[in-house]
Amino acid sequence: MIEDHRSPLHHGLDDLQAKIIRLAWTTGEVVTRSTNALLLSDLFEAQLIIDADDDTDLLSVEIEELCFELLVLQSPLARDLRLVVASMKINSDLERAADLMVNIAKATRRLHGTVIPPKLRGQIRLMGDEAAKLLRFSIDAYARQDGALGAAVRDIDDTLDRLHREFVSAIFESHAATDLGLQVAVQLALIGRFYERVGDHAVNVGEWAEFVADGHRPEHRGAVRAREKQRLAQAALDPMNTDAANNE
Amino acid sequence: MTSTMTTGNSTIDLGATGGWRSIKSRLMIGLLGTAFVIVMIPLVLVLATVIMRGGKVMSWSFLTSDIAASERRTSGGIGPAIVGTLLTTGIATAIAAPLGVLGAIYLAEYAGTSLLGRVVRFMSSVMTGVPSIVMGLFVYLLFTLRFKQNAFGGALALACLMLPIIIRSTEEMLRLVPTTLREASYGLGTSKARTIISIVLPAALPGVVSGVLLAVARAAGETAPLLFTIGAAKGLNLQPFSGANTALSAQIFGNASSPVEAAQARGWGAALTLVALAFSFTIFARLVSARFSSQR
Amino acid sequence: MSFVDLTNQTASQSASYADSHAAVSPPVFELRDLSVFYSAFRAVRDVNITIERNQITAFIGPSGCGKTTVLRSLNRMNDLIEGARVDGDVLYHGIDIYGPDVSPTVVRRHIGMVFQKPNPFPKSIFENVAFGPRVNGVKKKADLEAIVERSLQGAALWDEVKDRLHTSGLGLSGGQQQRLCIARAIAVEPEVILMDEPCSALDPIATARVEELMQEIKSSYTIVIVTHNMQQAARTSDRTAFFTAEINPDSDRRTGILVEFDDTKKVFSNPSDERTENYVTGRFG
Repeated sequence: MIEDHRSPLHHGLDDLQAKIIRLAWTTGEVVTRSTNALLLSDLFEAQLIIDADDDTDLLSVEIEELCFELLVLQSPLARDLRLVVASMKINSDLERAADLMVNIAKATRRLHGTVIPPKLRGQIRLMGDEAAKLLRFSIDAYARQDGALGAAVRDIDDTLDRLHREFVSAIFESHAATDLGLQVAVQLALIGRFYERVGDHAVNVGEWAEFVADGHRPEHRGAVRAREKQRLAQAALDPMNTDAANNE
Repeated sequence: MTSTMTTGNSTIDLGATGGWRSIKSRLMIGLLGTAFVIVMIPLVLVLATVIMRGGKVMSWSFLTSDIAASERRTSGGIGPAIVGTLLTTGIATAIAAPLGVLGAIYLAEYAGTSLLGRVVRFMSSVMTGVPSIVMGLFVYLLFTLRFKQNAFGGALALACLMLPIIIRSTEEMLRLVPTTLREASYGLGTSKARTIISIVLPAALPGVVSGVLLAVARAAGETAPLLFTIGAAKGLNLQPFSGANTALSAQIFGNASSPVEAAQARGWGAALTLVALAFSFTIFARLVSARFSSQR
Repeated sequence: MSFVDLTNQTASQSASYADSHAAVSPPVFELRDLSVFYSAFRAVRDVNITIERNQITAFIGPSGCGKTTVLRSLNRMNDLIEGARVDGDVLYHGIDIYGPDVSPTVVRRHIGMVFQKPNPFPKSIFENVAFGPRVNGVKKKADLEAIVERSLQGAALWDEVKDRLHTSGLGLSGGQQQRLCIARAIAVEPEVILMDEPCSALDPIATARVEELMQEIKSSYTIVIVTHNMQQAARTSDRTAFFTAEINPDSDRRTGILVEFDDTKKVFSNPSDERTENYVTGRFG
């Protein structure tokens, strides 16, 4: 039988997880609603989305405060510590993702009255669905502390990246072949970029979920290269100490 | 000011519970006080009697003169007896203190629960209970019959009496030295012998010293072991190994049973001297232990 | 470097030992399948730990998990407890400290100890520190004075006590007393210092000073510390060993076992064993 000797901490962590999931759920919903508003050119809905973003920001600030409080008052360790640290990072990823979707809602206003070619409309729909799906997977991985699912988000994100590339070339084609104006083309390219960024944030969330689950933190390729460079420089400065070079 | 106050929905009462409890408390305190007074009565009476009766004959010449040749004389003092008491207890301490302390070290530090340790410990507690006259008889048989009565014989008897007291008190004191001190010493790579000499004994010293001095005070007042062993000298004898000697306790014993009033008075004088001597030993013991403990 | 002689004889056999092992210097401690018994009762079983030079190793775990027992077996302090014996090997630089020629007194000269409660001798500050060197044959007053000053400085106590070296060590505050005990331990120049919950009787400031001191002296000593305070283990140590107690099914007694031994960062951020995870997150099984 396991007795819980730190229930204030663990209740706090339950609360934290619930709040993160709520933030993720809101963000995922905003992805779908922004896409719909954009495609239906629904200015009223776009305004609702923009206004609701304040609530999302508030939730995000609450999460930040809760994390800080838990760190200060409860000194969590091991899995508990990883959960708090990951939640702080996930919090900012989700908050950024929600902001990006607000940008799409704002773009809805700018694109009002323009006709988006059907092929691009279809691609926007696909990107929106894909981004929402990625968010859902990543937060599932966090909620269930499923490291494998968290890691899988990175691979699934390839689809969104491909959709984004195809979308950009489709914009070029439409711009060249039809009368798609430069302004609209730029707006659409930015929108594509927003979806792609949401996907990246989802990948981050998945990686942090993986960290919570098994303590493994995937290294970014750039960081690995920089670390290798530092190690070689160290070895060059201090040729006697070959240990230092070999140990890292 | 009232000692009750009301907070929200409950009343806090900090007043005395009164009634039966305080009556019981007063009753018990009264009982303890009465017991104390009753205990003090004999103590104060003994001291007062000794001082009043002994004070009458007390003078410098009484303390220094030889013992009266005949108990009927009104002159004469207890000089030889004081010297004899100091001599016998001094020799007895010189024998019993080192032996007793070493024995106690063995018991406390080495013997543990071994058979020998248990036997020695048991024997010394039995010896504490042996009447002192038996010690006198024992020395009489082994020593006095062969070497005649002298101060050393008396000292031997007193040493036998002191030994168990010293062993037991010293062992207690050594056991009171915290294990952490021993461990600290061993942790520095110190051998057991060095730890005992440099750490354990100094730490226990005040207790050991006062234990020894209490044994000395006790021995100084003993009469029975001296009865057969030192004889009855009238003059000063500084030789421990030859010639009879005398002691304060022997003087008290002899004079008190005399029908002559002058002798009885001298007995009281000797008693006062002995009390004063024992008292000064005790004070000395306190001073010594205080001195050592202040160095802590 | 690993020239160690734990016997009382001078060192021909150890010298040849050092020569033959000059290439690979063995770790400071290597515990192989160590079990400690108190009479028939097995207090700890099957402990395997390797302790490297100039590292701070922390032993953590619930009460009765045998961490102090293991610590005290590292310098044969358990010898003082009647009926205590060990099974398995405690190798110090490759030498079994429970070997037949080994003198526990000499072992403890190499491996000093600081205890849970500050326990200065009832002597002056100077005498407290000078005691160990004196026992080990330092006689000249000037030498002793130099050692006392160096040790007190090493324990970051010199400035506080240099004007009252000849007053009693018991007149110091608890934290100062504990640093005095550390000074006393390093005065005999051991290689290893074992610390048995050295801060449990100290307030947070005194604790911080002792922890800071551990970091300062780490470059010259190898430190093993038992602590109940996980934060302290996390703050001070390089490697952490987690022990726990398992209840014997036939009797009701508890036997300590080593659950996990790893880098401190790993143990407190991502332990490999679930029992460690439960312990450090406060879920005791």
